Amino acid sequence: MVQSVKCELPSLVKVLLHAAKYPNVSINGLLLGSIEGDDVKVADAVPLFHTSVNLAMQLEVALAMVEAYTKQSAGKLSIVGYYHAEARVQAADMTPVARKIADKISSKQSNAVAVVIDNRKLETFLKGDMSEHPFDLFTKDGSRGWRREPSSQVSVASEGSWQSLQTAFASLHGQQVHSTLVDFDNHLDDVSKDFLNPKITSLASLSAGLKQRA
Amino acid sequence: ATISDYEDISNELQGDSKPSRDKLSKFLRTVRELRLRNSQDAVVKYGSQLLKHHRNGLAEEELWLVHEQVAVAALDVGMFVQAATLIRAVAKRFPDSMRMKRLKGMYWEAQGKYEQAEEIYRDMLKEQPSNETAAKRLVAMERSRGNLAGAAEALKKYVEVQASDREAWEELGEMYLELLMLRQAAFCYEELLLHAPTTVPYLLRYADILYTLGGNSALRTARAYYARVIELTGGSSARALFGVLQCTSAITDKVALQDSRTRAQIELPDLAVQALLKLYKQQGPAGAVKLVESVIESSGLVGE
Repeated sequence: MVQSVKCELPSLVKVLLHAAKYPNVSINGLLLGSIEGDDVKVADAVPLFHTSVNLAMQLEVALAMVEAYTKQSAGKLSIVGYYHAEARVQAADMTPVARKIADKISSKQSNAVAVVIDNRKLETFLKGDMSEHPFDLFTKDGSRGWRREPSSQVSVASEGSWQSLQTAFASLHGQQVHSTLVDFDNHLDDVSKDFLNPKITSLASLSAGLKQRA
Repeated sequence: ATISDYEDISNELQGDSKPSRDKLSKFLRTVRELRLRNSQDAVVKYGSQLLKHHRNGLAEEELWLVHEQVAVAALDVGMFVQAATLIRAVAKRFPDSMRMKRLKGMYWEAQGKYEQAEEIYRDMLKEQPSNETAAKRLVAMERSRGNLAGAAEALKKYVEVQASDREAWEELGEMYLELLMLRQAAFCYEELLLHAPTTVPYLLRYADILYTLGGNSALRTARAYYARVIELTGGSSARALFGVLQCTSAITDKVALQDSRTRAQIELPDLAVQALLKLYKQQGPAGAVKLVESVIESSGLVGE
């Protein structure tokens, strides 16, 4: 039973940049990190698709590549969740495909989470209204499937805050950084593009004034 | 125009605080040709600059193309006042134009005023029953209203009449994909491939849909289509190479080695593995080759 989901600021910045790069289509991606008991720690996000959200072949390849990447981290990282944003302005919910993908992740990692962006909350959040963050949380309830959890369980980790997230995002968006974000779809079209987005991780940390972690 | 043309002119403009008319014009033209939807950052910003500072230098045709382009982009990002100004100018210049009426309809659509928009489109159809633009706007509106199934139904009726409208078949295929109606999506791509059998994006999409459908028969067909893309792209399509590997790994009835008809089927995955590793070694980001090797290993196809 997930109690908390603490997300490093760069991971959420990447999710928002992915959404900003493709505002008119559905997008999805993976959340990487670690799970200690009921506490989920999200350290990074890997943007996956914007044109192939319902297609299986590239999803399987992406999952295999990201899993291989996490195996290189000697236990520090694993796939702990899935994120998703729909094209239309609507309340957040899990789509059938989202459930399928989240199920797959959950079968390998108990207490894995799903984060769905609420587009209406996103609009107000980006305009500076911090009363509600846009990341709706879903967890798997055994055989009952995915169910919504209180948004208060999601927070920005370390020295971050929702305000610092909004500021960092606004700054990077203003510098057009979202157009340089690489998702797995971009990578498949041009393998020289790195879907791990290391530069954006650094930029996001710097933007928020966070110290670089070793 | 190609995507790299777009990236080039985009980069040029980013560093330029006082871009020339030619650069701005080229940018907008490239976006039009590639049919990119780059509304906020670029079209509104650069299009407005072009119209504000260089309108006198623009030829008549380009002037109004840019008006239309910036108006639609402005609607896309919710800049309704700016859009209205542009649309009014177009209406003044082209008072009876269907194309102008479409803009008016889109103005209402963008604000969620669907009844006003629908009235305009239905009037357009009364005047010109075969007006494609109005028909398509009605489909798009259904989609905006959240009625994807209804939009697909309407578009299906449209393509039954306008069977050679590629854009419509593409859109319908994507709608069916969104609805997870995979067989119907496949049918749309079959139509597209009838019209254009060597179009790589169609071949890939069709293969992707078949793979997602699953089952040995669909997987074999998918593999054949991925193989065709490998052929057409000289082995440089990562999607096609991965596609062949995934299909081969997923197909559950293995072929007899002795059968010469199927030798190609046996050699294909090995060649795909080699091509994929070569591609990543030559172009992939640092460390990516190892990840690809992992994928290949886990799919049970060892690189020879």
